[in-house]
Amino acid sequence: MTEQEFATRTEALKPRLYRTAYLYLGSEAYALDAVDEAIYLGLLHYKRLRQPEHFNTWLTRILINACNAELRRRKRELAVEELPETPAEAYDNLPLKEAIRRLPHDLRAVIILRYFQGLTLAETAEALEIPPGTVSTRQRKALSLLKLELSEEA
Amino acid sequence: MDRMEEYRLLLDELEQTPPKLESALPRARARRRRRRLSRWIAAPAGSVAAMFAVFVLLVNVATPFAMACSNIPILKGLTAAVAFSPSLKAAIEHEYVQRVVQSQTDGGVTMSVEYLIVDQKQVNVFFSLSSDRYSQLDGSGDVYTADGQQAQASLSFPQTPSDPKELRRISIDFQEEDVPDTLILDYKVWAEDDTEAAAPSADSGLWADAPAEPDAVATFSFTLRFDPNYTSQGSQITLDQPFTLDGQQLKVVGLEVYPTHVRVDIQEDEANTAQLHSLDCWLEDDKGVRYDRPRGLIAHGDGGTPRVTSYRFESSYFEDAQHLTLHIEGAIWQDKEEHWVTVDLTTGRTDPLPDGTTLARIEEIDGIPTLTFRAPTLADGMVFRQVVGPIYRSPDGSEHHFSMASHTIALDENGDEIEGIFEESVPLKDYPFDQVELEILDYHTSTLDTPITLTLN
Repeated sequence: MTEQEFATRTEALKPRLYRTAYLYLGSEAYALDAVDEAIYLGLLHYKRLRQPEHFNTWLTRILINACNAELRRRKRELAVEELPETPAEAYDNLPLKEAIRRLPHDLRAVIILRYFQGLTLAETAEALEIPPGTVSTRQRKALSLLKLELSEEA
Repeated sequence: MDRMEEYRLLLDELEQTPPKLESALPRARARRRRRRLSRWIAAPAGSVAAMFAVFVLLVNVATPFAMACSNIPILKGLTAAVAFSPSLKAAIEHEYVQRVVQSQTDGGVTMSVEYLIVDQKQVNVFFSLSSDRYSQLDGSGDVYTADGQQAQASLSFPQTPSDPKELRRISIDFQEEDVPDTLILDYKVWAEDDTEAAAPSADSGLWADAPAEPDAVATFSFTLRFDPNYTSQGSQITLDQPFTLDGQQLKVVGLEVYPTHVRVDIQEDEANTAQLHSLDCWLEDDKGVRYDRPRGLIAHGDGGTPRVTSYRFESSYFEDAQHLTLHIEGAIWQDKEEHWVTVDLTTGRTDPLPDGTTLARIEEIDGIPTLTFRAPTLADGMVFRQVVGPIYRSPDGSEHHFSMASHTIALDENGDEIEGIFEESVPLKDYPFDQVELEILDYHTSTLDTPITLTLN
C-alpha cells in the first residue's frame, strides 16, 4: 500500500471512524482526538499491513484501541457507569445515544460497528477479533436491550 | 418517539461531522514530521557530550482544571496552555506572569507573543498563530542571546493545540547558565493546507528525508526582554547527603527551588557498577503536599565526572514550604559493562540479547539496511529509550556511528498495540558488510520494599 492509497482510503473511512469514536466516547472533542490518534498510528504503520483488503477493519481496530485507551484515561472524569445487562427496563428511559454509551463494553462495540459504522457481521468479528457467532449473540442481546428492531443479517 | 425513529435521527445527527475532521490527515502528517525531526541525532564526540537531556512528548489533551484564576480575565487564555503543569498553574494563580504584547505577520501568518512565565532557569513563552490561508500551523524555533550567540538552552514545543485559537507554549530551559535579561526567539512556521490530503506524497520512507526540514511559510524573530524581578527568582542550596540504593553509592548534592520547577541534584559514585537511568521518586513538603516529576524535561545531567543528574519536580515555590523530603521508591539502572552482540545481516541470527529484547526485522528502507529491535518499555513513564548504543563495528574492525534512530510503538500484524513494547530502528548507512557488531544497552529495574526518605533542607 502506498501513502497515497492510505490517504485515499483514510479519507473515505474518516466519517465512519468519527461516528464510531463519537459513540464510544460521547463527545466531539474526544472523538476527534481518538480519530487523530488512529490516523497517526495508521500512517506510521500502514506499510506493514500485509492484506490491504483488510484496511477498514485494521484501521477500525486501531481506532477502538485508541478509544479504549481514552476511556481508561478518562474513567474517573467521565463517571459513566455501564448498566448491567438486565433489567432491560433500565435502558428504556434513556435517550438512544446515552443507552448505547451505557451498554456493557462488549455489546456496545458490536452495536456501534454493525449499525453506525456499517461493518458487516464478518468485518465486525474481524475488527473485534471474536467469532462471528459471538458477534451475532451480542448484537441480538444489545438490540433487545435497546429495543431496536434492526436486521441481524450479515 | 420510538426507538427506530431515534435511531434514524441519531444516524442523521452523526452524518454531520465537525469541520476539524477534514484536517485529520494533515494533522497526522504534521505529527509524523515532528516525530521524525525529534529523532535523536548522534552527537559528534566532544560537542554536546557535556550535556544530556531527557524529554517526553507532551500529550495534547485539553484537560479542564479548576479555574482558580477565573477572576483574572487577562489570564484566562493561559489555562489551557498549562493544563499539564501544576507549577505553571500555580504561577498563574499567583499572577506570576509577565504580560507581553508583540505581534508580527509574515507569509499570511500572524504570530503574537502574549505572556511569559520566567524565572532564573526557565522561560515559558505563550503565543498564538493565526492565518486565513492555512488551517493547520506548526512550528519550531531557536533562541539566541542579545549578541547573536545561540543560547545554551533546551527548547521543547508541546504538541499543537487541538483548538487553533488556544495559546501555544515554548519552554526554554537553561541548565547551567541563568536566564539572561534578553533573548531573541526565532520561530519558523510550517503549514498544512486542506488540499494536501489528496495530493500524492513524496514522503516514502523512514530515512529518506530525515534531515530535511519542510519549507517554512513564515519566519519570525522576537526580542524578549525579561523583567529582572522574575529572572532573579530561585534559590539554590548545596547539600552533602550520601545514601545507598541497590548497592550503589549516591549523594544528594544540591536543591534548587524555582517558581517553574524544583531540581534535586544527585551525584553517582564513580566506582558504581551501574549508571542511574532514572529514579522513581517524589518530593513532599512539611505540609504534606506532594510534588511529582513533571512532563516535558524531567532530568538533565552535566555529563561530568563524577556524574551529576538534576532531577526535576513540580515546584513548591508558591507553597512556601519550609522543608522538602525526597522519597525514593525505585530505580532503573543501566549496566556499565558493555554488551556487544554480533548480528548476521543475511540470516538475522544474533548473539543472545538482554531479556525482553528481540531483533524484530532486518529490512531495507529507502535503500538503507535497517535493523529494528523490540524492547520492553521501562517503568519510568517514558515510552521509548535507547536500545542500541551509538557506535557499531564492522568485521574489518572499524567503528561507525549511527546518525539517527527511530522509535515507535510496536503493533502486531493486525494493527493492535503490543502493550509495554516499543521498537527502535537503526540504519546501517553505506554499509557493505553482511555482519555487524552492536552494543545493546542493558537496563534493570528495582523497586524498594522500604522507600528511602531524605529530608533535604
